[in-house]
Amino acid sequence: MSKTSLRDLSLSEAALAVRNGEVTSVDLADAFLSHSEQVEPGIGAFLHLERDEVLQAAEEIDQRRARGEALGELAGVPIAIKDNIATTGMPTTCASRILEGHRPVRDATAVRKLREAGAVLFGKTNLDEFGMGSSTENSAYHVTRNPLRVDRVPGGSSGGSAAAVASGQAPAALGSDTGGSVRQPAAFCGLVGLKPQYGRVSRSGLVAFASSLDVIGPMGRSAEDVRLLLNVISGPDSLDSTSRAGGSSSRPGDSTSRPGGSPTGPENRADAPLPSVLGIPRRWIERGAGSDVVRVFEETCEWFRAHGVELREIELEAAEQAVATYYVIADAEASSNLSRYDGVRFGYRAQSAETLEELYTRTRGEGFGLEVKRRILLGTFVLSAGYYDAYYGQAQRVRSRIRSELETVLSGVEGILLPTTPTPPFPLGQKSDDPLEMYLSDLYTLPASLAGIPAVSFPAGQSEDGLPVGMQLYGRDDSEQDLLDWVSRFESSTRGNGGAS
Amino acid sequence: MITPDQVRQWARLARLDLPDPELERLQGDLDKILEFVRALQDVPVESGSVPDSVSESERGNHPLPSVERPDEVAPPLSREVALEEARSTSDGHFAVPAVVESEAQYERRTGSAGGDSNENTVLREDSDSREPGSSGDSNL
Amino acid sequence: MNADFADRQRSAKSEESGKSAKVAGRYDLVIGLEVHAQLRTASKLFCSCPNAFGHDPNRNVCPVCLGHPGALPVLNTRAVDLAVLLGEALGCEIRETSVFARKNYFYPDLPKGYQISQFEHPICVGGAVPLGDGRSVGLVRIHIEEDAGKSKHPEAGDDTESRIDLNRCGVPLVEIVGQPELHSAEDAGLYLSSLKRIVEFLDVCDGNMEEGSLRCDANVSLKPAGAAELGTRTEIKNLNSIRNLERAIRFEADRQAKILDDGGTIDQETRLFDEASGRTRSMRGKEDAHDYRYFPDPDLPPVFVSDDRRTRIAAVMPELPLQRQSRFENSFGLSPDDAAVLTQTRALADYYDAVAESAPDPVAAANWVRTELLGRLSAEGKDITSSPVSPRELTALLKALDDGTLSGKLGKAAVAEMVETGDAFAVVVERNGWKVVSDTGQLAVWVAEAIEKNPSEVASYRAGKTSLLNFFVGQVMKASRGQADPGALRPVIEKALED
Repeated sequence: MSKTSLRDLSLSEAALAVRNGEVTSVDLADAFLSHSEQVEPGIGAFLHLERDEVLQAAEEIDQRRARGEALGELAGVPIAIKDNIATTGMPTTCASRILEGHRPVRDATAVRKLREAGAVLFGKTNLDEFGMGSSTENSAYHVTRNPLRVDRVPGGSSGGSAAAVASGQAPAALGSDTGGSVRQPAAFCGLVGLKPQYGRVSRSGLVAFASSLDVIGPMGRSAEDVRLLLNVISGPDSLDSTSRAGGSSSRPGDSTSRPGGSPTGPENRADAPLPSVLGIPRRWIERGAGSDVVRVFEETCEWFRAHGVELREIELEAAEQAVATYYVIADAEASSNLSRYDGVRFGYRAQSAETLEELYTRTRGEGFGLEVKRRILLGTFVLSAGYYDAYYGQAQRVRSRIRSELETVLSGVEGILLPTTPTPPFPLGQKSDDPLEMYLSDLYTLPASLAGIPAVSFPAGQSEDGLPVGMQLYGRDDSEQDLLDWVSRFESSTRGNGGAS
Repeated sequence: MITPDQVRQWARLARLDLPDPELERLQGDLDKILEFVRALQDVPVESGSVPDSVSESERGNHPLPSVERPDEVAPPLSREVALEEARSTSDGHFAVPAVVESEAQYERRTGSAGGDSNENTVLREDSDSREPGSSGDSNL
Repeated sequence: MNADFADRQRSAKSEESGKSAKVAGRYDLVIGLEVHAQLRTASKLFCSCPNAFGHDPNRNVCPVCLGHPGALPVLNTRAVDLAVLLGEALGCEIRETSVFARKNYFYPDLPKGYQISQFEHPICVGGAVPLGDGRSVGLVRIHIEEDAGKSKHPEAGDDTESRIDLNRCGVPLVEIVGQPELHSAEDAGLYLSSLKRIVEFLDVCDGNMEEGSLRCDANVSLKPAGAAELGTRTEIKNLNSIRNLERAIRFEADRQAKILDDGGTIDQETRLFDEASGRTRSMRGKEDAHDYRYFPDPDLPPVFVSDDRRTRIAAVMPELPLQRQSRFENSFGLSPDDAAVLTQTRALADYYDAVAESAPDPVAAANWVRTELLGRLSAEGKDITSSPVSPRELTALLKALDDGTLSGKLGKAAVAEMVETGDAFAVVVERNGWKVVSDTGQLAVWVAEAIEKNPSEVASYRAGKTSLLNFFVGQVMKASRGQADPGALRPVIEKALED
């Protein structure tokens, strides 16, 4: 097979080819590495990618096959990892100076499961520092460009993972989603990105940003690639008290198990059933989204309608408060989660400090970027004496409302269709000076995060000037498999024409 | 309007050194963000206590009964690994600039009084008004 | 072996129980104690590191208790069980749902920058600590939290760095918060020793104050005698023994009284007790506000204790010290004082129970344990937990005493030698050739000797001073090196003197 066609294989095809000996893991890795050498300088998707390291890991898979060992469902398949997910043998910096050179002593549970399934870790991808951002411009190391249009942002915070896959450097990647950080970059880079239900994937080894919201999510070129990754990394974990079983995910290691949803079906889900009713918050979309996005939304609605899905208009009132709610809760948790970076046990330590106070304030002052400081300050304030109830307390109350509103709506419809972002990818630098503007662009992804429900972003069309536009499906509890089924159907009937039009 | 002193106070609580230009910029940003966030306070909600993870609403994320692990010991890290990334160590310890009394005084040493008596125990003051159930509540 | 509880119960009883102690007659003293007890689990509260420290620094640590990025806490079920057990023993309401919260502050021995504790929703609410004299002191709450590490600070000026050992980080604690219902240093001491005894009997905590397994802070305030409203309190830390708790309270009450007498006001502050000087001193530094920014820990789901679980835990409740004390009185006929002393620690009570079970006379057994054994152990620098004399060996000795094959005098010597050598009773008897002689032939030889050596006493006796009989018994016991059977001896002497 040519190197191009090797890179075009789906994850399951690639793994099957490796297991059957049609291709070696080294060949597969080499195909991606060679391509990466050409395109990466113009993209900047990775914070860490070592050719030798990747080839060595691939070589080990090939040797295991040669010894006759059974290989897992990701045998020899390279997977890029967002750099806020702990990997032994590689740095894990969260794109922050404060973790420069940090090498975890344990793999994240999701990474361990990837390795057990035979995957080859393919470097660490760039992100907004600690996941705080929507453009990957907040990395302490470098920006990442959108491979589809290099003057545009790839989205964030999992922008490096999205750009790595969209530029063909890796077939799939892990990201993390706190308020949209998997879905928004997936939308900006023309990929499928799944935010699993909260707790579906262990957070053990995911460096915490906002613990009640964080979840690791797969990003790939198709719903089926994303599904395969989800099936590998999901499941309850004794190292994370908030992880949980659900759906039919309780058969670890079984490649046919289907976390979050209906019973095992065929690998090709192109004939999977579509929902009978989807909710559409049309007024919210018309008010909040740009014309390109509204148009693609209407086209997507049309596709579902044409395939027998009833579309029912819904009102989401509480969800419109999601941005303010999210920033209070996420930043409160972040301010506490980031207290451990104090220069004492790992990571950056200010050299000039002569007193303990200086050690703390300088290490953190020099080690954190501006956006992280902004979040820490806001989070410190909303938890402080005298303000706690009015800010953090109120945000929790509104969060409850958002959750119960979505619960109520989803008891009447099987899913909610809405855009992932209000606009197509914006130019680099456009919003980096206006944090509030940046925050507001997360409005459509945040409600699912606050409610903890699964949501998937999928490529649905293009703007007038050819930029990708992603649509999003929210689902009920344990509905990941259904969401991916629906996206799979959509893909199979629209593949090749770039969307629903 | 947020004042520079407020930002300084939060930075102090969060142990963040903020050079003046940063402080000025963050003050402006935070002012805008907080104004936006304040709108939350007009959202009609069920009054009463703050829903935290104990409340019905969040229980959806937390299956009952609670998640607990058996009381079993696993091997800890070797000390070499534990100290590996520390930039300063001393005789098997993590090392920090000496905690001098003026600093130590206002830091509460949580319930650690009565540790090894051969150590120079430094105590942290506790005057937190939000602490419920400390006998102080009714001892005033 | 200290006899804290029994001593304190006696001394508290000798005061006007239940009434406020007056400070200089003008003020009522009000004290509330906060007690931290390390739970006796095998592993730490939120990770699998051994719950053991005091050895090599930073040996019992892992990514969780070091606060590494990405590491998450998972609650130790045994710690919850122990907190529930303690709560049940103290009559607390056990909350079906309790919540861990983060207490945020920076300190080098607190790796995460926050301590996981319980704030708005503690596991136990209410309850009381019985003082053993019919009184009890109410509890506000009991909550579970993690311990911090240890900082070793340089002595003034001789070093430039503090050293941090994180072995203790994450060790499970309960904080037991008492109501401000104590009114004298003695009662505070009695409360703490009662609580100490309870946690030990439950095996919830080893109760070792010297090593910091049990720690106490005292909130102390004065109010005008009879006033309803409480005065401003100070919080005293670093109280590492019951004696120091009492000393600190006395000093602090006097200090506050002098300030109030002079028309001054008390600053609400934290004070440190200095063991050497017996004084408390202010820990006030910068007036920098503390703001712990508590919020529910999103890493930990609420703790759920079902009725069923609570019932199962309560069902295996060990006998509590006061229950045991009254059983010792009722079943074994011990005096209240003996019963209090022998229930001082669980180890001692277990020891006595084991002896009393097969001893011929439980009251005599109590006396032997309390006076002879504990006295000898103490002289050897040991306590009951390190006693070389097992209950079984002591019982053997008691049986020998009871059936007359060993005299009381030799019994005491035997205890001393058994404690010293760790040898079995039979071995000690054999080695010394100790046996009771009741053979009248041998006794008559010793008696004849005594009569011959003491002619004037013989004359007095024969003249009617029959009380001298005991003198001759003593002479014979001496000559026989304690082996003569006193019971058999008397008729032999009487007969010889009458002849």
